[in-house]
Amino acid sequence: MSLLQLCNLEKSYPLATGRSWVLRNINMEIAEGAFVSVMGPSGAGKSSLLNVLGLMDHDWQGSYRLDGIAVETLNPKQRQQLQREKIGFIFQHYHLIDELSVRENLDLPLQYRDVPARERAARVADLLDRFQIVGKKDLYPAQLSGGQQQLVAVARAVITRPRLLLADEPTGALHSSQARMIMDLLHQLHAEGTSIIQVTHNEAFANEAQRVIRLQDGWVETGGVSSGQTG
Amino acid sequence: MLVNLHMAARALLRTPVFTLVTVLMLGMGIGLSIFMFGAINAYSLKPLPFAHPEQLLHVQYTDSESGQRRLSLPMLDWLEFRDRQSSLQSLAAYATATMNLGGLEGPPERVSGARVSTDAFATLGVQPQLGRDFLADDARAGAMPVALIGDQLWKLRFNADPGVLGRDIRINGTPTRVVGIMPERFAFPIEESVWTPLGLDRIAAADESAPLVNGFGRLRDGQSLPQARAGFATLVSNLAEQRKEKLRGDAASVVALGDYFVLPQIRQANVAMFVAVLLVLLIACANVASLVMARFAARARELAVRSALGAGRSRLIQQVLCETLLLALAATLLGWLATLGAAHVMEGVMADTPAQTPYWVDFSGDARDWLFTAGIALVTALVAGLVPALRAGRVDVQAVLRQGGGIGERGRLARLLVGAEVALSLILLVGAGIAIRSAVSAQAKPLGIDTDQVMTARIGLPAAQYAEPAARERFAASLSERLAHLPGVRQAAIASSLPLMGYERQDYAREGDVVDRDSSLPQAWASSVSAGFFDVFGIRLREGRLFDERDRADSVPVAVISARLAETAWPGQSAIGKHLRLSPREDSAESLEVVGVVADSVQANYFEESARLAAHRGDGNVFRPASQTAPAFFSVAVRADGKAAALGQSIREAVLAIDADQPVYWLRSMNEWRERMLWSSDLLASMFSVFAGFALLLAVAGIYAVLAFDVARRTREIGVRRAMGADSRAILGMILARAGRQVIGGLLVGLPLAWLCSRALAGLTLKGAGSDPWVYIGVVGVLLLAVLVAGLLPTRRALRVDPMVALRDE
Repeated sequence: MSLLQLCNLEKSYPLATGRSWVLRNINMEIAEGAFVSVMGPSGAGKSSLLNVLGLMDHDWQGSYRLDGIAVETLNPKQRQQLQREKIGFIFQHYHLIDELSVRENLDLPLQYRDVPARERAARVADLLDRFQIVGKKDLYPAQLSGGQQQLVAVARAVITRPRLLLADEPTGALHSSQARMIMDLLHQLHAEGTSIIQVTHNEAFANEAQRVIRLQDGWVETGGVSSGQTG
Repeated sequence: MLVNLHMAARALLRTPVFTLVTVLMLGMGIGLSIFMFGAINAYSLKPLPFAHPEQLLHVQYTDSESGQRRLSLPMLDWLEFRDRQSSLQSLAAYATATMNLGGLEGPPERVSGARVSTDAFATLGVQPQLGRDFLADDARAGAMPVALIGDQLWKLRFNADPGVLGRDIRINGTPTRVVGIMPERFAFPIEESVWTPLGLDRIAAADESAPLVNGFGRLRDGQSLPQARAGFATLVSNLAEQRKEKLRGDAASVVALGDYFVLPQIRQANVAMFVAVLLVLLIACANVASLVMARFAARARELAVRSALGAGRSRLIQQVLCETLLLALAATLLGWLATLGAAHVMEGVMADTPAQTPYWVDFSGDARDWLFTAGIALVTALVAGLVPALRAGRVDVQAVLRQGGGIGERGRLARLLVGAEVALSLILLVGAGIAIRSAVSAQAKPLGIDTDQVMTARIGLPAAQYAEPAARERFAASLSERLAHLPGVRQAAIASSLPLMGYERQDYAREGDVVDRDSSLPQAWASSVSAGFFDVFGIRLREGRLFDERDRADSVPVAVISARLAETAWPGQSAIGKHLRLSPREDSAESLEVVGVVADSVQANYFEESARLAAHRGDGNVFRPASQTAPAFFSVAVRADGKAAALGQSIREAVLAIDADQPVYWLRSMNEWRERMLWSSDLLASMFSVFAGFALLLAVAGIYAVLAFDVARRTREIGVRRAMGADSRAILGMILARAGRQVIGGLLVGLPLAWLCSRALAGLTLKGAGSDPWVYIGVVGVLLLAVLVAGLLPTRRALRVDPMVALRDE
């Protein structure tokens, strides 16, 4: 069963001399529970694709169905609701909120989803335990190493139990040992049933996914539609 | 340093908007400070224009029982003190007086003059520019009357003709020889232009009609103000002991001459306003400090590179301070230019004010003004620049160059500054609120009289020609008759004192009350009025009758009293037929039969009245028929059919038709009197409103800048929160919660401070204005509204943050 489906999706910016194309004629289908890597040189459209998939960008043409819902027919409020329900984000630069402690950072997405306080506390405690960061719960991002910060960022992304985890170069700012730890974590989440799409420059990490989509100048070079729909 | 200044100038020129905004902000605060300091310098700091002014002292009585702190000395008391005192080289005296000048070319003129002891000018160290000073013989009984005239009068009325010396003019009807002309700009004690010698005859001095005088003198070598005070305290108690009766006052008030002439209210108002403008300046400094911090936070990389290249901490601090110094200097120039404009406007305002400004108050700039201006520029540069400079000096080179981060916790400090701005603005707004509340209350306070279409004028009948009550009575009767028949006049009246003028507050006692030396007596406003007075002012009769032809000089002395006095003196009873005496300690006090009770009306300036009433017992009016008192100085009041002002010339002509030498002065409508009474409260309200307006503007700008910077700084965070699922409400809540914390913090600190500061305005405003909760509620409302306005744009920007853009790779 496919989790998302893009059909002739295009994105461009108007220029004085014509249009600058960011994504061209993207056709893509990703199954529930897939682990997909997106690769390509700088400017190929990887991050733009991730923004579209993550419902942060709605300025595009074509069709995008997420879990059976036609995204292009939704109003902003419905889009935000869909995003809250289905998607979690991991960023290259972690983007933890400096003024909030580890525990508060984890709590934040639950607050935005109006989860009752008691349940929030339980879920945060579970996750701290599971990610083995209980001892760091009261520390602030600036007091953590890069790897630890990304660990917290992953925990924050999955605390809402998203169906789809979008990771934009999750290991890009990390040392190799820390990067390995994060990749292992992603594999673990995938094994537990989360669908993951990661953008990466790291060929080795990309190949750890079940499928690699390569972009070039906004076009899908390879891997747009999976051959075997391995789930 | 020069290199730093040069670099600072270049950096400022590269960012003209920042430079302009900060110079304008600081310029407001600095300009107001220079302006107010100028006023304080003119009134209180500049020395008097006399030789060794610090040696000159002023001597009066003060009376703790009546709460009056400034009581002139009876002539006899002055003569006693003059002969007995030892701390002063001599105790001179003056008594200001209205002088009617006649025998000039052209119409008669009423001028302010003074009767002075013959050693007055020598005591001050001032000599006439032409002619001679008074001689001791001039004060002898029977000596030829002589006068000295002021330079301006000499130039205006005598064409600066030296031949005026030795010429006779008429002063209050008495031929008087001009023997000298005082130097230019001399108008001692306040704004006088004619001086005559004060007679020293003890018999005349003991007479009731002898003037009350004020003493002044120069300290002997080796004597000090405290010693002089102790000396006069002993003299007063000795004299009271010797006379076995209470003197006019119960203690001596000995103060520096300069301090005497600047009213405490003016001094208090000046200080209150100076503190207010310093608060405005402080708010401006907080704003600029915040902006400079933001500026250097954005330039953290530049500072880090400079540091990496070898710039020490002090060099980085210097760099920031040089920029704030240049900003402060430019702002000072701007503020000074604005002050020139404001001074011009204020000159116009002050020229038309009822406040008597002593002639030696000089608003032109002096070294003190320049020193203050230079000082305020430096202090402003330091206050606005020190915190950002110290932060810039602590830049973490490694962190900034590695991560491209900013300078430390700038946001927290900026938010603290916003809280401080809110607190300071609150103080100023409460000050303005109280002043406005007081002015509005004063405007709305019922006077009990109808001031519309009433024209008034003042006349002083000279004692020489009108010594006999019958002569004064004839003049008054004739004038009343003429005024009543003037075209356009509905009613006419004369009165020794008009409502709002607040003359003659006297003790009174009911018939049968025991009056001895120690009894504490109630007081009332006393005036002599003609029969038409109550009609002219629309004062309604409550009981009994008004004055009429029955009330003659030889008939039973009668009085009409106000309802409040009737209720105070005879609670629950009718006052008609009861008797009272005014100034009952005096032997000549007559028993007055109350024949009528009228509605209450305001007789004095509210502000003085409310201050005095705090220290006094009772209140109310006692009116006596002018026909039984024949006052020498009186006002005329006519109610017009049309515009009151049109009757001014007719009144003057009516007076001149009876006595061609009789000048008419204070030609004013009752509404002008009312405006003059409200002038000081209106001025205070206007000034405080201006200051508070500036403060509010600066606070809004400051809150805007900090919120805008906050939103800009947190764009990434807002993006992250958006990506985490935050909706607009959550983002709005986040921004407003932070602004709210600063504002609430500022309010919590500012409210008690404002309440404390409001007490400083207590003496300048109507009672109760300072404790009106609506002032505080209104001010908090205005501030919150201002915060909302300030937060509008930054919040809008925050709501428009596109997470995609915010999170784009840094």
